[in-house]
Amino acid sequence: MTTSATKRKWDRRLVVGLIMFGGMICVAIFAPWIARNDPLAIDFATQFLAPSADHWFGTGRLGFDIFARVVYAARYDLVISMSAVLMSIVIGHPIGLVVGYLGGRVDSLTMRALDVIQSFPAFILAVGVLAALGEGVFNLILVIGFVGIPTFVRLVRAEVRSLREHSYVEAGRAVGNSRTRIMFRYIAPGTVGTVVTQAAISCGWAILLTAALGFIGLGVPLPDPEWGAMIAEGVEEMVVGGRWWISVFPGIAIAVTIFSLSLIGESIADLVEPTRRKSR
Amino acid sequence: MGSYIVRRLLALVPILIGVTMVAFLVSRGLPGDPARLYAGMQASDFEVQAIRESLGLNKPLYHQYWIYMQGLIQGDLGFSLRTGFPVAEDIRNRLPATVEMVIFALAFALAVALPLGVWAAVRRGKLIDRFSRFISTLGVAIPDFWAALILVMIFFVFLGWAPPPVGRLDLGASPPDGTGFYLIDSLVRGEWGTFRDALGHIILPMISLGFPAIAPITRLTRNATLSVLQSDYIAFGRASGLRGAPLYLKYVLRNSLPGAITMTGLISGYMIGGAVLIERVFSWPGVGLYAYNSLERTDHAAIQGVVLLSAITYLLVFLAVDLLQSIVDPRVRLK
Repeated sequence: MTTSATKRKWDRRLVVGLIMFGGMICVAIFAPWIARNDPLAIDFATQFLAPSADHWFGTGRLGFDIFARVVYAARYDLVISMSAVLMSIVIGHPIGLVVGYLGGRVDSLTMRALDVIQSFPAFILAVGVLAALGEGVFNLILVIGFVGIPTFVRLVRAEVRSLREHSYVEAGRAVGNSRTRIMFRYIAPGTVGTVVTQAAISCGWAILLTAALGFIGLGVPLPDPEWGAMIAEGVEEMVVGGRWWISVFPGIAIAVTIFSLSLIGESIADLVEPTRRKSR
Repeated sequence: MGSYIVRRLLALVPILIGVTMVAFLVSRGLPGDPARLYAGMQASDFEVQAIRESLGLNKPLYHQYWIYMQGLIQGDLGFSLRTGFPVAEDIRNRLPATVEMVIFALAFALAVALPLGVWAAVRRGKLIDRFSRFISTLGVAIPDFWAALILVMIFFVFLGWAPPPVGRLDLGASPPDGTGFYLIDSLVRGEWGTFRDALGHIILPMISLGFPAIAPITRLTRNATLSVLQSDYIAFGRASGLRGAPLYLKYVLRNSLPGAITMTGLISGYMIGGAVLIERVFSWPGVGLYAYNSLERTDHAAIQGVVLLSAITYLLVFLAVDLLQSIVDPRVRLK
């Protein structure tokens, strides 16, 4: 495989991923212009209508317009997942930087603490904490952000441990820079690539977690729309009444969003770490 | 080998203590009044006070942890308000249903992913490799509980091939006596009708829970196989005239296995969580559905019991994975 062929390949994935994800963000921002119907309007006259020209994705039990709800739900799912990932990075990155650079007892203590947190399956831990805290957008961000911290600590720590041995870092130390300055000025910039890659992957994962929590009733409380909770609304309707549209469309929205994020994540990973490309 | 097992067990002790502390803090330390939650919203202040004292919630936190640990060691996870039974007993009764499903899902994922991974590596860059990568990306992007619903839609609602998603057997069918693993019980007793019934009901849950696991295992097996294929001993094997199945099964697959085993351990943790979602779709009467029903009724003792036991199960699975690893790859023991 020639270099140019490889290059074109990640380019295409990145472009497609960015267009898809950008489109989803636009849907969230311009929701009122895209959806003509009110996502919260309860109208029993329009209960359980199959998809049609008036209701593109049909309507649900309360007469909600599913298309409007799928569009507005993008706001909730994207804001929750992106804020949660931001929180994981803001807390996890400095911890990884410091323990990775210092090593020793601080490092091993932090790692044991992470081992403990990661002994819980992430979804189950989120369920437990959220059940105790109570539902709501803010708590959801808090819990998903918390569960994601160990990933970033481990990632940054591993990166820092290899970076700190580089000669440019040693040179920085030799000319008398402080430890803090070495960490934040010399080493931190080198971790940006891997963190951005992980952020894209984590964001998809956070959307999945948000939807899964919503599906079991621990997410955004009704009547606000959220993709996972919307899927849950349609379970009985599909099995008993054959009304497939209630659950199908929100699921497609989730799949499209996560698919675009994994395209972005993979192409950035290849960009940042060119050796990865060889294994393709 | 013996000393390796002892070493691994000892390393588990501090983590187990940490895990119980986290579980304890989640159930007691977070904002909100656990006694009020335990008593339910309709309880009077007097009742709440009585529960607070009986749970020891008026004592300092470290003392509460001590009481909690004493109960835990005797297998006491508290009472479920919803069912009226001890949580430990509730979970024990529902465990076989979940374990049966998870084992089937794991077996399904491995049966698809291992051959697909090896095949994709051998035919690198060809159609099958692209196909496997497509399946991988799809598996990551599609929520498993949604995939479960789509399967129900296609195979039950539209085609009518699958049985209704009403649990492990048809409605009204009586479960076989024995261990609670319906497929084994019915097989041992020769109850063929029940066996077929149970098998029919487990297929869709198995696929939905196993599907997301296919992606990472395939990817890992493919990459491990690629590096094995480029190694000297495979070149030597080829030079000695080995080809086809013997080469791939005996030499290539075995050496790609360690990574796949670790990944399987990780995945099983994911499946413990995923079971909550899949069991809700199929009304599968396991620990996951128990957790879901407890959530609906804010039955805290039951929820936290499931949370703690999931973590312990996950740790034990990882121990098993490490031990298995040391059998497949003896070098592990020396680290």
